[in-house]
Parts: sequence; structure tokens; C-alpha cells
Amino acid sequence: MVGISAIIRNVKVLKAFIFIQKEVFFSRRFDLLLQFISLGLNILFIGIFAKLITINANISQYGTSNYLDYLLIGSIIHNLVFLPRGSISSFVLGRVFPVLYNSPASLTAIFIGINAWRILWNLGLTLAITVIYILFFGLTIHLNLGVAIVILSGVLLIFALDMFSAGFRIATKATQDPLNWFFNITAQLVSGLYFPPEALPKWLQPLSKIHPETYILQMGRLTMGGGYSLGQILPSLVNMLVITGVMLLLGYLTFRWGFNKARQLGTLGHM
Amino acid sequence: MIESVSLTKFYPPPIKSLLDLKSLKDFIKTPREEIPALIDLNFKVKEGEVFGLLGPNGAGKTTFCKIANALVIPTRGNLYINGYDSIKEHNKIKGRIFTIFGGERDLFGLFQWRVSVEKNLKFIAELWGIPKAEAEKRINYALELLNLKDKKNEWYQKLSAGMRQKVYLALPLILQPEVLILDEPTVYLDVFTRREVWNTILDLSKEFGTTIILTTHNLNEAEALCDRVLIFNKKKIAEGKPKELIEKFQALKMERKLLVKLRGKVETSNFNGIAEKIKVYSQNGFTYLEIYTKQDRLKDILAILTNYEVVDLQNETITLEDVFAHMCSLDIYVNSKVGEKVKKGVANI
Repeated sequence: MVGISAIIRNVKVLKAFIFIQKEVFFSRRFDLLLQFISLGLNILFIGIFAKLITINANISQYGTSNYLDYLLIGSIIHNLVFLPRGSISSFVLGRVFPVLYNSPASLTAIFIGINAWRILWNLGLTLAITVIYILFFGLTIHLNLGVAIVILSGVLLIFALDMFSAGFRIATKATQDPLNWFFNITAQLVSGLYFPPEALPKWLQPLSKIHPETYILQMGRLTMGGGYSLGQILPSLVNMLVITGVMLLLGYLTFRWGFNKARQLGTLGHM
Repeated sequence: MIESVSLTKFYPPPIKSLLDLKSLKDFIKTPREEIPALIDLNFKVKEGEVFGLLGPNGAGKTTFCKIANALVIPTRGNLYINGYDSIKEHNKIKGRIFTIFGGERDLFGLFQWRVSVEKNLKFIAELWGIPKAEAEKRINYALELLNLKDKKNEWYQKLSAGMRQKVYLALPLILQPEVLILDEPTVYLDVFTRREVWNTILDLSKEFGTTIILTTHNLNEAEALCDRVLIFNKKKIAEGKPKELIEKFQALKMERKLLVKLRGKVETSNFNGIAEKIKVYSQNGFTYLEIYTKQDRLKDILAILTNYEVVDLQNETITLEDVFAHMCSLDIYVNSKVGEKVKKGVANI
């Protein structure tokens, strides 16, 4: 009974967050219009870019039949996987934390609540983009358990990284986020988001091999683009899940260390 | 209700080394100097009491508030709220304590700027698990009490700074916490709004039995609102009811100042041997006297004044501000380098 009432209570907290964030979001109508315009331009340019470019690489090894599919599926997976980016930092380093820390609502519900609208909105946008890609660019996608697990594993990995980064930032009072920045920029440059890693200069290829996003994109393209089943990608996926598990543990420990250090230094909440 | 036991906080926290080599090598020093924020602070606050924490800037008021909110871990000592340790048993005090930190105009972003006052308050009430109908009732009551009913549907960003601060005060009326910590609640307010806020604080205490801890630099505010006050500057200096502290100080203070307005000329030699010091000046056809005298000579001064046409006479009244200023400046002096030398007998006052 206690469990059910706690769930109901958490759902109410989530609803309250989503409602207030939706109010704020739609109060900026001009911003919303600009967001749609930039999204439209983005889709258009990516489509044109992908059609114009010829890549001297074996695209079919990634499960996608042409470069357009390679690029579009990569960008969908990247958008989905990066949804939790900055979620922990925005919660703990935000100005609202000190008050909410003492509210009776559970911290997990507050954490999800604070990020809920942003994640839901971006998820909606990614889905809309996917539909546009399918309808207007002839993209073919496959949906199976493998796709879901690859994306979930990627999301957890980014979440772990964010925990790691937030712990570091809380402890050091850093306003910059070099870790997330580095991961994001290298994800775009070396992981094969826009072009296959073998197109990179030789000296950059080792970085591509150790970058987790390379494997997320590879497995994502194989499952979503090539229709590979869970069983077919299992060996690589197991490695990925192990790395994710280790990163989650490391992220949690770093976050806990940073949080306690900030409480000792008196820097939590920056009042 | 609230018990602060030997609460001590140093910034940064002492560095724990694996080996203490200080006794072996005297050149090993800590990398940074430790700055004390609180030193062995002890006090108790009873249920329903309005308790003032008074101290100069840097006395440790905000550190205390942060410890009460489990945002800072004390170096030593404990703070108990309803018997629960504020740090170790934080989960048990969540929701029972509410703090309005001073100087923060948007309450840490809790209030959304482009959302109406009512929707903001409903959102916070929902986080605190207050049922919808009850929340609506409380919100209406709070807005009515604070004269904010006509601002209910206004965007929060359209309110003036003073009004926003009043909206914060609606929160304890809606959330009804057992313990309310107000860190400089009237810092940006004009006289009228300040008085409204004072009434709200008194309402909270009397009507809901809320235990209130108030930190302020406005000593009139502390005198008007607090049942008891603690004067401290990192460590306790004095504690008691404002009236009692004033009376004690009055008894200790030997010298009095009388302000006299009279017609005609004054022969200051009449006061020789009675007044410690006398200042005379004329203005708008009146003569003004500032007489400094010992308490036991007041009777003699009044007897001399019967020979003059006295228009007005004011006895300097001692306020909590005088007590505070005296005690804090004494404390700052005693802890200064000169004070240290005086204590050691190296120098004289």
C-alpha cells in the first residue's frame, strides 16, 4: 500500500513539473516559432548535405544502404542517446536545489520532474524528425528489441557521464563543463556521426576506437538501419553494457564524493 | 523543538592526514588557513517561539541556515530539529522545515517568471503533497492576508521586488511547516510592506504555532517580533528576551544622556560636579542641552532643571540595537590583536 501511494505521489510531482514547465515553454511563443524554423532548416540542410556528398567508404558494413540513411539514422540515435545530457548538473547546480532538497517529494521524482519537459519535448521533436525523414527522404528504419536496448544503454552511458561530470563540477565549483563538452564534441567528430570513422585521418582513428559513441552508433545503425536482431549484435552489446555498468558505478561514486565535498565546503546551492 | 549542540563549522573543513607529522617536522603547515564560521554554538528554541539570530555580517547566520537545511555538514556538533539530527536524519525533517533564504529575489528559481502567482503557488503546494482543494483554500487565504489577491493571475515577473518577497511569505502560510527559517525576510521592503510582513510572521507564530527562526540586521524587527534572541558572532555572546537584555544593559550602563529643550540662557556652572559632560547650543530661539550624567545623579539634574522653562525633555532610550552594537563591538575588540594583548597583560585599554 505504501509503495502504491508513493508511486501516486511521485506521479503527481512529475505531473506538477510537466505542467509548470509546459506553461513556461509556451509563454515564449516567438522562441517556439524560431525553434521550429531552425529545425526545418536543419532537416533541409542535412537532407541536401547527405544527397550531395559522396563518401569513399563501405557504408553497407554499417547496415545502411546509402549515405543518406547512414547520416539520418546516426543523427536520430545521437539525439535520443544525448537526451539526458546535463540533467544531473542542471538539477544539483541549479538555484532551485536548496529549497527542493528539503521538500517532502522524493529526490528521484524531483530529478525526473525537472528534466521531464525538456526530455519529452526533445523526444517528440526527434520522433517528428524521424517521421519527416521517412516521409520525405525515403528513410527505412527497423524497430526491434535490439534498437531499444542499444538506445537505452547509450542513454544510461550518457547519464553516467553526466553524473561523473556533475560530481566533479560540484566539488570544484566549476562553471564550465569540460568533460561533457569534450565527450560531445568528440562524439560529433570521431564517432562516425556524420561520416564513417575510416574516413578520419589515421592518427585520429584510435580515438574513434575508444569512444563509446562509436559503438552506440554502430550497433544502432545495424539494428535500426540493417534490421539486425538482438542476437546478432549481442557480443558487441555485452561489451557496451559492461562499460555502461562500470561508468554508472564510477559516475555515482564521483557524484557522491562531489556532493559530500560541497556540503563540507558549504558551496552547495551557492546561496 | 530546535537544539543546537556545540555547533562548529570551519571553512574549509580540516584536512585529515594519514600521519600527523606536526610533532616531528614543524615546517609542515596546512595548505589553507581555516576560517571559523561557527564556534560551539549552543541554544534551544521552544515550540511556537519566534527566535532571533542576531549577528554582524559574517557571524555565521547563513551557515546556520544551511546546516539546518542539511546543505552544509558541520565540522563538529549537531543540530536537532524535533529531536532529529538535521544531517544524519535529514529524511525525517524533509517537509517539516522551510527556509526563505535572504537576498534571493526569485527564491532559487522556484518561482517561474512567466507563470501566474497562483499557478506558481499551486505547483509548490503540489510538491509538498497538499491536496488540491486544500491548497486552493490556503492559497486564497494567504493572498488575502498579504493583500495580494489582485495579483493572483499576474505573471510573477511583473511583480515588484517587494511584492515578490511578500509572495515568498505566502509559502509558509500554504505549506504550514513546523519550523520556518527566515533569513533576512524584509531586506528589500519599504516600511509599509515590512509591517505587513511582520504581521504575517506574528500570525504564523500565533495562529499556526510555527516555530520561527529569524535572522535579521534590523534590530527593531527583532525587538518587535522575537520572543527571544541570540546575539552571536561565530560564538554565543548573549541570549534572552529582548526586554531582559535591554534591562540588563540599562543596569550595566552607568552613564545617561538627557536631551533638554528650554527657553532662556543656561548657566552651565550649575551642573558642575553633577553632569559628566554638557553640550549647549541654540537653535530657532531655543536652547538645547545634551547632558551626560551618572544614573544616580539624575535626580539632581532634574532638580536644577526646575529653575528653567523646560519645553521638552528626552531621556535617551536604550534599544536592542544599542545592546547589540555594544556587545558585538566588545566581542570584535576582545578578539582583535589589541584585545589579545590586553588579555595577556601586554597592553592596556
